[in-house]
Amino acid sequence: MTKTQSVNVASKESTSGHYAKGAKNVVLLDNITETSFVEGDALLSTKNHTDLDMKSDCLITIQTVYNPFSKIFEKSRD
Amino acid sequence: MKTLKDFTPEIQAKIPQYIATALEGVSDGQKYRDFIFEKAQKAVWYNYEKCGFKKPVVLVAENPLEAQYLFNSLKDNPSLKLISLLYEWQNKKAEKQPDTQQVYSQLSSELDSDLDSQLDSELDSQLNSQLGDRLDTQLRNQLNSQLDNQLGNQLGNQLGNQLDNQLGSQLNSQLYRQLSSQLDSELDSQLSSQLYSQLGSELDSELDSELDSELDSELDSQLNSQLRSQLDSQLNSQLGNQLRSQLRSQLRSQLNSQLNSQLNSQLNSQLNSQLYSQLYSQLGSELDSELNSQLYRQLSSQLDSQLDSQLDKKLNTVNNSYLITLNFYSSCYYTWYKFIQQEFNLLLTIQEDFEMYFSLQKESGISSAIFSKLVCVVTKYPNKISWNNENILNNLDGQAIEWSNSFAPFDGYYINGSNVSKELFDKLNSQQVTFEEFLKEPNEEIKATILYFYQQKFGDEFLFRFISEHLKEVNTYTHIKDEMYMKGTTNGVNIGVYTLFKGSLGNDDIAYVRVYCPSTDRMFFLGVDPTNNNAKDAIASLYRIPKKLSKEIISIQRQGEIFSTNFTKSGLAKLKSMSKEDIADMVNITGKNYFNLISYEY
Repeated sequence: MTKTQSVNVASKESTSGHYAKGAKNVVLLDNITETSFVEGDALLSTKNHTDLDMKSDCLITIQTVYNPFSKIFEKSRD
Repeated sequence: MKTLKDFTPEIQAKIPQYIATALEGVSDGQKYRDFIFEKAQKAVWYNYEKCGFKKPVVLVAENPLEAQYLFNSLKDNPSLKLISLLYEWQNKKAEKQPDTQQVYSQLSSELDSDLDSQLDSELDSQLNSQLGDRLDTQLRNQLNSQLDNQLGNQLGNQLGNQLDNQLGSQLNSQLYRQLSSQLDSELDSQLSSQLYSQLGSELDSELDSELDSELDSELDSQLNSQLRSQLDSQLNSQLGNQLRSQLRSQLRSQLNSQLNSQLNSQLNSQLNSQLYSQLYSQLGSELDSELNSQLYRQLSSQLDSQLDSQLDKKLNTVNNSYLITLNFYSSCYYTWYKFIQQEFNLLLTIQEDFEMYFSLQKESGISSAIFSKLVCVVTKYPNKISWNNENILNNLDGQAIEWSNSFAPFDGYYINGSNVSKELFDKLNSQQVTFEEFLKEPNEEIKATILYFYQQKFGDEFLFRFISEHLKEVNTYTHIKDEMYMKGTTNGVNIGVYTLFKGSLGNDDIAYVRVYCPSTDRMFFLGVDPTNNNAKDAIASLYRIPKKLSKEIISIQRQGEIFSTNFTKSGLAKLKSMSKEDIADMVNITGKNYFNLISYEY
């Protein structure tokens, strides 16, 4: 089985990436919410957090925070 | 066959000593101070040769920023010729071991034939463009002074004769007409002739002086315009040889100084000193100064056309990925391999190379490198590195990584592992980051870093005041996690404790939920809708999922800002048939649902 190399599934606006390693496939489903689908088991790695084992198959979504000044929800950045 | 059973507590207890050995000389700048160019070059050349490449020219930078600048500046830089010369020389030497005379005669025969014409044409074009104005002025000054002298002498005579002739005829006709009209009735032809002869001599002298002064200025301008072209050509032919030789020597020296200054500014002193020292150390003892200067001049013209494209190609072949054998992490890799090898008695089939690679790196003092076929730019270790107890980069009083620099300072401010700018560090250090600025910071990691800095540097009370002036605690929810989900966390008491704060800033209502990172115990304040009234729902509001899948969730995991969600089979089937609009149509789930579904959080 062919596995993907490391794929960044974090927001494009983030400084630190969150990398899905070893997945069979990673598909970006929506450019706005930056929601991705990870096919197959994968390991999620990033700089400031413990590695996370992600079980097949999963949907990656990004945390949203509320900006009280613009009064809108925004994708969280790290 | 070795298994984990062989990984005994006794062996595990040795790990800290291995780590200490790997970090020896890294934090206190010993590796920086021990840097020796020849050792670095030896390590680089060994790696290149093992990879099947020729020996590159090795350049040294004080920090990674300088290394990148140095490498980037090489493209289209005149110093490439020097580099290429060094590159060819050090590789020719390795291949053939030719003697000096061989190399000299070979290079001479290759280059001599075209040299003169190339130099001439190059000099002419460069001189024309660069020195045209200046020379024009000089030439004009010289010509003018010479013309003045020559004109004074040559033209004096010519003008005297011309004036005399012109004046003679003019005066004759004028005087004749005047005298004729005045004396016509009174004097007869005899008187006319007598008067003419008498007046002629008197008028001659008077008019000569008057006309001389009047015509001097007129003639000067006329002569300048009339004779400039004539004299230009005369002087060109007369002074051509002399001027040409003078100009050539002047221009050569001017050109040399100009080219030198251009090279100096473009290459910068760092590059030049490195290249020249390497070049001279290799060539100096074998080639005399004449050969050096000839080679430089010859190469400057010939290499332009022949090598530029090749050099660019060689430079463009950059390997951006690091070599584990020439890097800051080499000691780390080596130590782990060595640990496994020694503690488990495992033999390596590449024992000799293994030892050579890492011993060369250890002695080299190279912390990182940029590779290309032609050039390898290596960076020294930092002067000093500050860590916290968990070996995370951290310094609340200044830079955590103190790099040296020769032309480009490179800041290394780290707070609990997070890299921050000097501007932010200085503001934090002087307590100038306001609560409003904190709230408006879009990056959650930086926000967490601000809180960490204030707490660690100025204490809990300061942090409390910083927050409580604008936010009041509303509600706290504690989620007791199953022990299995604590694996990989700090096991800290703050894990699973969520607190909702609300308040106002100006005219804006604000609400934040405080969470602690299970991986690092860092504190985060995450913005939530002010309509939230309890911490449980507030935390859940950070998670959003496509509406069509909200009832198909099996489990949720979280790593910082990223949520990973697993679905039922029917949920997966739905997902595969969902449109982009369906994916983008997201909703929250309740706090109760969220905490029922959440498993691992890091």
